[in-house]
Amino acid sequence: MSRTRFSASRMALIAQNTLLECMRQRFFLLLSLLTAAMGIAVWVFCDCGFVAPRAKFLLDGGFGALTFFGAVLAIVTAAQSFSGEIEKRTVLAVLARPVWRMEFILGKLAGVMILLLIFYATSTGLLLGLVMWEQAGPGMSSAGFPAGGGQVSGSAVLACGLVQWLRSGVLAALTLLVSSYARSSLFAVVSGFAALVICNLQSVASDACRAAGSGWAESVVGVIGVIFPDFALYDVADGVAAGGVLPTTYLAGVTLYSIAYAGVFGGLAACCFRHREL
Amino acid sequence: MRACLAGSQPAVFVTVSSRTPALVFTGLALAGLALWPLRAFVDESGAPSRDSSEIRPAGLSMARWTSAAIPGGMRALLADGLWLKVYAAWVARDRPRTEALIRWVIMVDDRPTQFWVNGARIIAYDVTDWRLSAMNGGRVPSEVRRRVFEEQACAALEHLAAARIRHPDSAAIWVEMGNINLYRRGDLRRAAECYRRASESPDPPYYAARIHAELLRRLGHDREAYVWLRRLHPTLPNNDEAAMSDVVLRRIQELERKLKVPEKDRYVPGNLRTKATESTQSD
Repeated sequence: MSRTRFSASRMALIAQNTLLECMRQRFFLLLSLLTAAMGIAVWVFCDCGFVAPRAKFLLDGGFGALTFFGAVLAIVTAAQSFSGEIEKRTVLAVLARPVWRMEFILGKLAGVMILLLIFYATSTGLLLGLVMWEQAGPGMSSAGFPAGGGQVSGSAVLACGLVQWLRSGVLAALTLLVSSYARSSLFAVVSGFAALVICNLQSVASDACRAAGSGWAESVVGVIGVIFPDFALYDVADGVAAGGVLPTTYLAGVTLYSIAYAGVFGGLAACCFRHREL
Repeated sequence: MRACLAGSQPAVFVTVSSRTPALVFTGLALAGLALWPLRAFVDESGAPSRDSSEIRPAGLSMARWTSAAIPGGMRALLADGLWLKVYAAWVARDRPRTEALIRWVIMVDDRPTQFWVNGARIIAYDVTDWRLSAMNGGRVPSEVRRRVFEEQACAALEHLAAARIRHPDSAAIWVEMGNINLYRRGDLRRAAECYRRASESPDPPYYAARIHAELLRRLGHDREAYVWLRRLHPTLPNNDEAAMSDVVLRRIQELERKLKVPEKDRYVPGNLRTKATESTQSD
């Protein structure tokens, strides 16, 4: 085994199998349909937005659904696809062949990432189509704002979709790390959601501790802030919905940040899995 | 060296080397430290709408927590849904429910100034009428009426003071504070101050500065009103009806007559001054 060299093609094969397996699951289909239904429902009920132009209301709801269901998909798919293989013992058949455990883990991560990419690309495409349709027609919102007030740029919507995909990719990698030493997929899913809450709230918690002047609490939050990635960096959907654009420096920085964290989580997951007794 | 942790750890963990958890945490900490500059770079790269609600002395605004807990634009949807419920409570003249729901809306989404301003209007005007109607069909002594007006106006101003923390540059909030001070409390001095602050905010409505001058005049500060209007008039565009440049000019002339300003010191609008200079030069 140790003489077998690391193979990207074997990893790609595992990724392809993971992708096909996940796409066949009803869960993926259900979440995709829910996200699409949510986007269309928001579009239909655009007039219920009291304070925002229709396009902003649509993007608010659409990105809300995308972020929420995307996070659920990332956590559940990453946990199920990895722990499921272990629970069903199919992993033994794979690892009995000359396959590195790292190839297995990274292949799983790549498969989940591609699945998420498909999910985000289709959902963002649908959202963009609805927003463009909305902006193309004249009209006023119920609040009296011109429909075109704060025109939303299509490229900004796509860039925002990309940023949300990066966030869910990091989350999937983090869940995979937990799965690599968790005994059950349920534990991995629960831990994934806990990690999501920590990553989302850490910057707010840090500000709150600073405001309260609690030194020890600030230290604890500081340590957590070092260990976990800060998901507040990805919260740009509101700004894009308000007509803002994402600077290239931000996009480059957040892409690099996400790749680095996904790499670290993937590497550590491979390390844990290497020492795991199956 | 290889210690089995399964016996000492909860059953949710698999058997791993004792070094593995330490390795994971060390790896995460090192990665976090190494990526800290990149994190700071992304944070300062000028992406729009990274929520930066003001941190209050007593802690953090509830809206900031909800912004982090409720994903993306769901916050706006939830706030709109709650605002519908505010309307339902408003139609039913249910005061406790209306006030509680206004607070909930703000807690969920404190970004739109309309929620703050409309909430303040409901508290200052509608709730006052509901309270008075509930007392003997509105036939109440003037003292009681004044007290109810004052209580509700103060509640609305308190609500708007919280809004100012979130939207320090919003002219709409200062204007609403001015309106409540003027129409509900009859406090011209405070109202004038609020309109002045509104006129000094970024992108203010033209009328804020005019009302400030008018209130100064009503307070008897004619000289201050005159100076204010003289300074205001050159900044007003002639081609925008909302600016009411001619009205401001008329008011300046009225004040000049009232204050008996000598002819040579009287205000001459910029365009007329230019014409006068041109005709002098040609002579």
